[in-house]
Amino acid sequence: MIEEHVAAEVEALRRVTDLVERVAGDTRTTRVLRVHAGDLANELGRVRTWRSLENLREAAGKLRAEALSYTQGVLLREHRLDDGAGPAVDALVTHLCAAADVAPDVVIGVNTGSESYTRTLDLVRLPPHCDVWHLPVVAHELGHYVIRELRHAQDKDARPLRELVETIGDDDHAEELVADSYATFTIGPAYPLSCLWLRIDPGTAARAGVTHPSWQRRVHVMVSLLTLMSAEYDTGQYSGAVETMLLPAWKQLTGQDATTPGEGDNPARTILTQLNRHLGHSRYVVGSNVTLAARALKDRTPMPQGVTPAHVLNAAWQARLRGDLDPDFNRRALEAMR
Amino acid sequence: MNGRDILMTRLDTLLEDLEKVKEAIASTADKRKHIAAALDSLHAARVESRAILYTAMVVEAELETRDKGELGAIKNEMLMTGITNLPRHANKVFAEIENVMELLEPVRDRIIAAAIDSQHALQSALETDCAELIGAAEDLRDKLVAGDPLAPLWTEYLEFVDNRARPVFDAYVDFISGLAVRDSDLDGSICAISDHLMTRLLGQHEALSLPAREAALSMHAIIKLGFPEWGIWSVPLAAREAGASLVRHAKARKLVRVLATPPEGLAVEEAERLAEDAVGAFMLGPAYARAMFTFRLRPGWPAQPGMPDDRLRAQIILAILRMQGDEDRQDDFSDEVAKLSALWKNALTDLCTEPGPELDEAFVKGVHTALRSERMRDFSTANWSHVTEWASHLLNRRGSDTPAPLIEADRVVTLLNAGWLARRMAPELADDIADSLMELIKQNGGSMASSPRNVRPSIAQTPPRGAR
Repeated sequence: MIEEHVAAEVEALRRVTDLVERVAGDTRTTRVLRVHAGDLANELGRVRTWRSLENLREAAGKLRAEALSYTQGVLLREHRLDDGAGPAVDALVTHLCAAADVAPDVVIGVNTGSESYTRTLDLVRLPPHCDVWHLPVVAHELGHYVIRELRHAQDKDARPLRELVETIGDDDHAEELVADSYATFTIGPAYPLSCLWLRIDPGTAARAGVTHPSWQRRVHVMVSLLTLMSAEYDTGQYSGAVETMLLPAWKQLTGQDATTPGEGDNPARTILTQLNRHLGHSRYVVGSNVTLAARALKDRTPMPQGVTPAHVLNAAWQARLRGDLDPDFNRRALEAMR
Repeated sequence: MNGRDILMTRLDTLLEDLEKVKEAIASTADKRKHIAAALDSLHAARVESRAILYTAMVVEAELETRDKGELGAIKNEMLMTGITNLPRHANKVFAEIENVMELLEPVRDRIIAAAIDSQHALQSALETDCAELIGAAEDLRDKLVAGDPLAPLWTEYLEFVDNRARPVFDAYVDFISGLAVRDSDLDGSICAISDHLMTRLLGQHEALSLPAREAALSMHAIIKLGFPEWGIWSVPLAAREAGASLVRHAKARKLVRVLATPPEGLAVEEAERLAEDAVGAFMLGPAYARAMFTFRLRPGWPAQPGMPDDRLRAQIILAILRMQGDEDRQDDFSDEVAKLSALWKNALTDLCTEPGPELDEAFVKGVHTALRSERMRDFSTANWSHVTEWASHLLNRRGSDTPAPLIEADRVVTLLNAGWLARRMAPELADDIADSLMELIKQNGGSMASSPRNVRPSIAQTPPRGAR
């Protein structure tokens, strides 16, 4: 009987590979999937016990879930059911990957629950129609990819952000803090604003999970990073956002005037040093571009040169906080990011 | 705790999302209806163009006669040019329409196969749920505006998102992406076959099968066919979701009554899941057992939360089949059930797993009696001879005569059983058998598109067993 179960698993892997190939064609993702599915099928061929079958089944199940999430993402976009978010996500990913000098090999899948990144297919899972105010989370999920992909300028075998994660804790919490910092460093206050206004639940803000630090610690690291960036680059623009937008939101949410470190150390300075060293071109530079982007969104005029998707995200958040929105705002902002 | 503005922002976002869901459902459904309507118009245009073509052929024949026959008398030059060009234009129009029809016919089959009527019913259900959620979210916002205490409102909002809104979002994503997969024919027509089966089990327009990541019954009756079970061998598993529909929506009242007092050691939830397996075995016969043993049950593995032990599930499936066989005294059928029992027993022995707790016999009997008295269309063991004939045919299609046609209402169930029996006899031919089985099922019952309308549903409208 175990042979039938093994055959069914192998068949399922073949089917999912065929499905992705039919939907997406011969893409990098399809080829990566084929390699992983082939490896798993080979391992399944050597299975003799139910226990080892169960372990491989779990791995095969995860691979299928990733592949199906990717398929759904492609289909929803093809059928124009993603509300125009797809091209905006692509533009953001392309912008951030180009700045980090890593290949933009991340693909987008669908998830109704929380957003996530999985390494096997380099898949970022998002809700089916992610609006412009939720999009900053893409930078966080992309951060997990950059942690693995970014190479040292002089030593191509070295992975400086992986080493950074190991330095500050070598666990899931450390990686989450680096991904948060990457998002804050590359797209500025839009990321912490999105967390504060749309994600953090006040009742559980101080509670750390198995895979994620508490929001209390995460927000503290993000706020610290922006404050340190202001000092480092001698500009009040980052710390200004902290004072005028982030801390008031944190106070609204928790009743606290300032953020506190929560359950662990604050590695913001260590992280910023490494981000500056290895991702200098990725830093979010405000200048006058957010103002220009906000004006263009309001006047419905083309985005001026120099405005990046990150500036549009920040302009969208500022407009939201000012209450300066109209029913068409989200669509215009998503289009402006392309 | 504070955060009135932030909670208001989240409620606004939630309401925007719900509106988007509502719009997307409506536009997805409308798009499909428009495509179906456009294809109908195209079909009508083809009929008309054929009539024009015949006229043109008559004109052409006349023009080819000496002095252009009766048309030679026409003196108006423009009129004559028009008549002379008519056959060429008519041929071109007809050829173009044929070309478009050829390109679109597969789409038509798929769209219609996805039972627009069922889709409409389910779309309404989804829209109703959405409207209810919007109402509830607006109530929450009103309380916030009225200055109700914030802490309980946050709790209410979080519970609302987790327990009420998220399941609707999940159903929505499955609905739109499932339709997209089905419309793209990525399911290999399995959903159409499942719909056909569901019509037999639940009645017309009661369910819409959609490809999804996990198998489940969602909303009122979206039968989600979980990947990788988008293949002919897994179709019997959809019967379990039909069972879930009967149990959860209290469509089988006597069965629900039996389940209200489960035997000792079994939670109500577990008894319900066992009853769903019982429905599957009762309606689909051994094909259900084979599909479950092959794809779902994992001997010796701990039960999932809320699910009974897999050994109990196997027991109830086998017990129901035995009860079906005993009453009809079909030896060949009993032999097949004995083989299934041996298969399961061997699996447990291979794993050095104990046979597990004994299922309460009175409970199984109660479930079986309830199913019988619900007047459900069961898998009749009297059909087993047809199953064996068709199994032989599947194994040796070129060398054997086609068996006598099957009663339409039992055709798919009989063929699914025949497929599994053939697979048991020649496992190395599983792929070939699957191809032949698909071909047979698609034949004559035809386009699965039209067949559901002709199949009698299994509940209530079916005469009681003694009357058949």
